[in-house]
Amino acid sequence: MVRNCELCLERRAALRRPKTAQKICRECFYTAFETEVHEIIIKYQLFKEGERVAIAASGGKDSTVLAHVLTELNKRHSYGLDLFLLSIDEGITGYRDDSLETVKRNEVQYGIPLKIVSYKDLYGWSMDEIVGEIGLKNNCTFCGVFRRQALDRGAAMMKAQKLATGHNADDMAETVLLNLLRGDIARLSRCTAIVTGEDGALPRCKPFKYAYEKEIVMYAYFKKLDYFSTECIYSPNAYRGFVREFIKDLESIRPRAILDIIKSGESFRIIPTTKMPVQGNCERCGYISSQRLCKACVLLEGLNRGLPRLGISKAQSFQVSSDGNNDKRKNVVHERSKSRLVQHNIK
Amino acid sequence: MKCKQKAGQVLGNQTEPMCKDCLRLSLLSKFKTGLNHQGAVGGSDKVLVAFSGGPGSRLALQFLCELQSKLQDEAESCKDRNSAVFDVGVAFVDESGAQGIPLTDAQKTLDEIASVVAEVRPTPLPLHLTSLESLFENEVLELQASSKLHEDDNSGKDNKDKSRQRLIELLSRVEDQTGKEDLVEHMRMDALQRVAKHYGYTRVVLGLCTTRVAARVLAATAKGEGFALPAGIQYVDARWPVPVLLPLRDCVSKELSVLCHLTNLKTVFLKKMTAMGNSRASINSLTHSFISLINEENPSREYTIMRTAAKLIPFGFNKLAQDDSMLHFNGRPRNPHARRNLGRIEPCEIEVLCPICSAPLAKSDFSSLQPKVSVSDSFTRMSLEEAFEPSTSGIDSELLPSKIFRDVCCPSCQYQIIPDQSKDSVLELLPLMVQQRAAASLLRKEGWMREYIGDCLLESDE
Repeated sequence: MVRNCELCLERRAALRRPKTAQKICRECFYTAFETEVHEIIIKYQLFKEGERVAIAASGGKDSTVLAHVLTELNKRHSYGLDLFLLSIDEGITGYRDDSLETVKRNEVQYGIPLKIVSYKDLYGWSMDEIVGEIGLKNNCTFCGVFRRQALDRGAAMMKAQKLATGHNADDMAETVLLNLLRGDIARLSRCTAIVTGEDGALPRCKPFKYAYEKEIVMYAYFKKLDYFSTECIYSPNAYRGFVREFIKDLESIRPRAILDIIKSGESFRIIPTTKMPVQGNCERCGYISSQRLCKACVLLEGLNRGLPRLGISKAQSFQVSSDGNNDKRKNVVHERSKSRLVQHNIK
Repeated sequence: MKCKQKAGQVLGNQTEPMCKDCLRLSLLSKFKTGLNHQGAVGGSDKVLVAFSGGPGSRLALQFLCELQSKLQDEAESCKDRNSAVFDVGVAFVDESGAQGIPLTDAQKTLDEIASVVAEVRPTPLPLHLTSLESLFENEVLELQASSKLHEDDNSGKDNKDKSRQRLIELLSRVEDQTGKEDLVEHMRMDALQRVAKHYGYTRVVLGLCTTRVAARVLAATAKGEGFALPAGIQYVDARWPVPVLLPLRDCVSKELSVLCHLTNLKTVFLKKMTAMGNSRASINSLTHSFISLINEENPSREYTIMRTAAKLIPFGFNKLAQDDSMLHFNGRPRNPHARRNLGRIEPCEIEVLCPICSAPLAKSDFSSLQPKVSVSDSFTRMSLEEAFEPSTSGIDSELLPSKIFRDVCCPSCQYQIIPDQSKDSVLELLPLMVQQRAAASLLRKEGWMREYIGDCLLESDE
């Protein structure tokens, strides 16, 4: 039986919207999806006219759709934004090199410039080399910490005033649950913010905060967007996988559960006396940090000194020194690491 | 081994090998900590244990009876005849009507429950058997009185049948499976409160353990109930006419089950609504399966979830009123340190509660409400207790329009119990006390709104 679109009542319905279960045509879906993102941008004042905005682009579905939608909306609603793509090359052979090719094609397709920043250039280590040291356990900690900082540094190099990331509603819900499961009350209180780092030099915003992952895939699929869809070869994280699977199950029972989790995250009453990290600056590189040294510097020092578990394992009482010489275990630093010591020069 | 005397039989606190006695001591100590919180049980209290047949409520009952007996012995040995010791009673809510279980099978369950309760101590414990459909019985009686149908000798049985039928009809009209399960849970609490109030109990003890609190936290998060979440997971929950205590909140279900098994405490396995369908049928069953799954990966995870949620700000009603607390089991004040640790007991802030689930509403959820019903000023001072008592409230809440009723419910109940398209059909079958609570909530909402705009009103009687 041919069913007409529930919104325009004219064209043939082509899909059931995951968020609302409405049976609608492609055109209405595009309009609904783009309008919702536009409304979020306006409601939360994510951008200001004339701002230079870096779109964090990995070549995956979220960032590709974000680049596409932001470019479209920028033209349609005359935001007056100066957009560019910012990619991080983590140095993962067989994964990032392929996805970067996608981003390079996006640069041409959307007509916006691309800047690629690599771990190797910034830190002297590629992820392949880090995994060689640390193994497959905890490597995501290095990648996550380094990427966050690399994005900031890349954006600073390009004089960006804002960074837009492709975090979607599923990611937000996943983070809320993970913080509950980990007991991280400090992060729980701020993980649902649509804009973070407003006090700093580079605020980050998430225009897809309320966009379902399934709708993003649907949008990319129907629009035939060019994106890279392979999972990172180093990211088999069973724990996060449990949570992701749980959210998928919840969504199948009640599609609005994803938005409800975000709503819960926003309305949790956090006790004011809960100890929150005090933001300062890293003594070594100047990056924002709640500790004397930022996490990236701690991890990097561990790598450079042959102690890759430094900053990961709480059980061992490693000491991180500002000059890097009075470590308890300096006698175990082997020559190979010394030779690879790369100065982490950050302006 | 904790005691370093006997061989370990079980891993307690996730990693500690324990013998039966050490496990018992460990759980009893946590139970006492929960019970002592805010001096929740005093010598003059009558404590009603909500017995489900499971290990949690079975142990709560056992521990309470042991504590009571010990305190009585102490009082007698000290010849301190004046020091009162709390009383214990048991209540069981029959949910067979909600599950479509035949009455004959339901009776067998009741007999089994009675036999388990009879074994707890030599002197019989008062056992109050009630059911979900009991919440409708007064209304059915009133209906019959008005239509003069009660002359029949079988009227008592008829009342029960009609109430049961109404319960089945009500639940069949709630389409969402999660909503159905939650409605049963809310009605269970209403039934318990009714019993507690009727028999003069001053505290209700639930056997809710860490595992179920963790599942409840995740389920509430997935239902968008983040704001109200802290209300139902504290040691004390005094939003009800009879305050509810969760002394087993820090004990995991595995340890409770193992202790019941090792000490040969009989439990009764009852099929709950959540266990009836498959694990993916409702948010509640899904979160239970998820908690089991993540516990396999890390057994302390359920503790972490519970403790994280416990860091959220509790509500005013999660503290007992000053005159209601500060006493130890035997009626004497606890040691001065305990007093000091309690800090300042603040007066209970008046919250607007959802009439169905009693969840506190966030102000942002009802700021758009336009009051459309006129209510007498005398009702603005209606207490929570009065809102629970249909016969004394005096509000003809059946006149409350469904739109207004829906507006005073929490977003979660609005979605899963009374969705827009079916609100009337569900509303007309809800127990009268729910309707009356809606009227009370409406008055509170108006009060809050008036307070909010008070500085802009030119006339005090506007």
